[in-house]
Amino acid sequence: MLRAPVSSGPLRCCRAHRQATEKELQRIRRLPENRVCPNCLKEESLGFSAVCTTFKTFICSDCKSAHQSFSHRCKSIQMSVWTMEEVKGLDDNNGGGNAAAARKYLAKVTPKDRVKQGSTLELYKRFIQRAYVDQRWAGDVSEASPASEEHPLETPGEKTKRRSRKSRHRKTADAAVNPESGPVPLQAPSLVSPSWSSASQTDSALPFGHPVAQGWCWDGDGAHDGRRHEQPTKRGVYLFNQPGMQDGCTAVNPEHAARAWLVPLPARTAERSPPLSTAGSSTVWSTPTSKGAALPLDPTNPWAEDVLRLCEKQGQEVAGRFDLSPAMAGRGILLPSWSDSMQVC
Amino acid sequence: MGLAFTKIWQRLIGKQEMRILMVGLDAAGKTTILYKLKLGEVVTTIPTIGFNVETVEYKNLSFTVWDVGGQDKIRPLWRHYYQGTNGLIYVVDSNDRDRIEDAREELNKMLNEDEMRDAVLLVFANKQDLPNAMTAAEVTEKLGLHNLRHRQWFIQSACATTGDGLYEGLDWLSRTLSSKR
Repeated sequence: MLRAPVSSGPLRCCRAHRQATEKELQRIRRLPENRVCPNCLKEESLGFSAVCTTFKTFICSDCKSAHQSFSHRCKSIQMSVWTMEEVKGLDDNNGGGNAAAARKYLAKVTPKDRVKQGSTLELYKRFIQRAYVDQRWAGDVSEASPASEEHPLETPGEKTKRRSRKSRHRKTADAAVNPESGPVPLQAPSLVSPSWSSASQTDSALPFGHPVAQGWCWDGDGAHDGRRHEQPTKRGVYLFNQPGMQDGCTAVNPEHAARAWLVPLPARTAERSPPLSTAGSSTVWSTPTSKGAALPLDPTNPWAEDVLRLCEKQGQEVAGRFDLSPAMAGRGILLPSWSDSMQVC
Repeated sequence: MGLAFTKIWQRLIGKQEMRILMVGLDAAGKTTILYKLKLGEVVTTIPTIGFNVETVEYKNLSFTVWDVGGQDKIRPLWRHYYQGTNGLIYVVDSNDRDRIEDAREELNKMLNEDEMRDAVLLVFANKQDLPNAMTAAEVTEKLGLHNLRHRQWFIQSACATTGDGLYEGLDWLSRTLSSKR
């Protein structure tokens, strides 16, 4: 008699696959980092029985309850059907697991922010909301961020700012930078000093077609580039620090700048020096005595005129006024919406 | 005679017992609802393996509520609870748009079972406290409740953690089941 192997083939294969999936899941579950709940740091020597698949974390049952109240999908290790893809996604190499989630969502959490074990569900929910819904403590995934513990209460706006600046630093790979220096434009009193920047050595053309090597430029008639002034839509004041503005223009919230103007600030110390330096073709802030970055003043901003007046009053050269056309904006010197206080063009 | 009298007596002052089955996908909030009804408080739940059963007295009805785990591996067990069910409470996570289709499939599968033909259906559109939750009308549409034939059904938006809507649902259930007797 011939026994047909056909029928048992797929079945066996299916079972083997299921077992492999289960085995892999158990392996990942038992990794040391996955035996500590990322939220409340509860330890479970045998591994947790719940996985929040939304954030790919192995969590204790209290945190699971809290996650579920936000409809974050949680699956049970034992009672849910797992596919190999789902399990693979929990691997640290694929951005899953507790360590990855902690880097991503809990990078800046301080011990006192954390929910204590045995708290009420409300407290767990509040923590989960802050960490995963509001992402208050989120870190930059691509960077290990031990230093970021310094900014536990950073607002999202500041975060964006810091991140955008960091990303620019990455572009200028050799720039010796201190990404944590924060929004330096507050050193505004020196912003309009004509001794603008030691990085002003070149007179490469600005996007305006106007070779401004140093300091402010004044362009009263706006004749520097007729083409772009056909349809002026916005007037602005720009302080440049040249070359290759397109790559490295930094826009600063004029409100910050203006506020700084009105309040005399102590002289900048070397430690607080601008974080940027010139590297390659990117324009960055340079020496500790350099005076800042491009400061576009949105003319619709009530501060704009004040800043200008102050500049003039202090006998400092006013750098420039430009009519900004959409064409210009397209080149990256756009007037940003000031909700983003820092723009990297 | 005595039996008839007992029946009338029970009808007047006694509590009628109702067997209620509460199901839904995992993490829909079934266990939370059960214990909110029973204890009036929110408990920290763990995934239900098997079932929780509690008796909840409301108005003149005594609901025996069977809360059956909703994890996908144990859903096939639901059918063992169908027999003798007067009412079905189906709990839906209104915020989980990805799985509402699953919820619909499971519901239809269940309602097509012969043992469930007399059961009335109460749907709790749960987790209404979340900002992005679907409304009861949306859930109705996504579950295809309007297409149900020969079925008394009712949908109630609810929030298990605060208890909003739960008793409104039970109200409907008690009214409907009383009138059916």
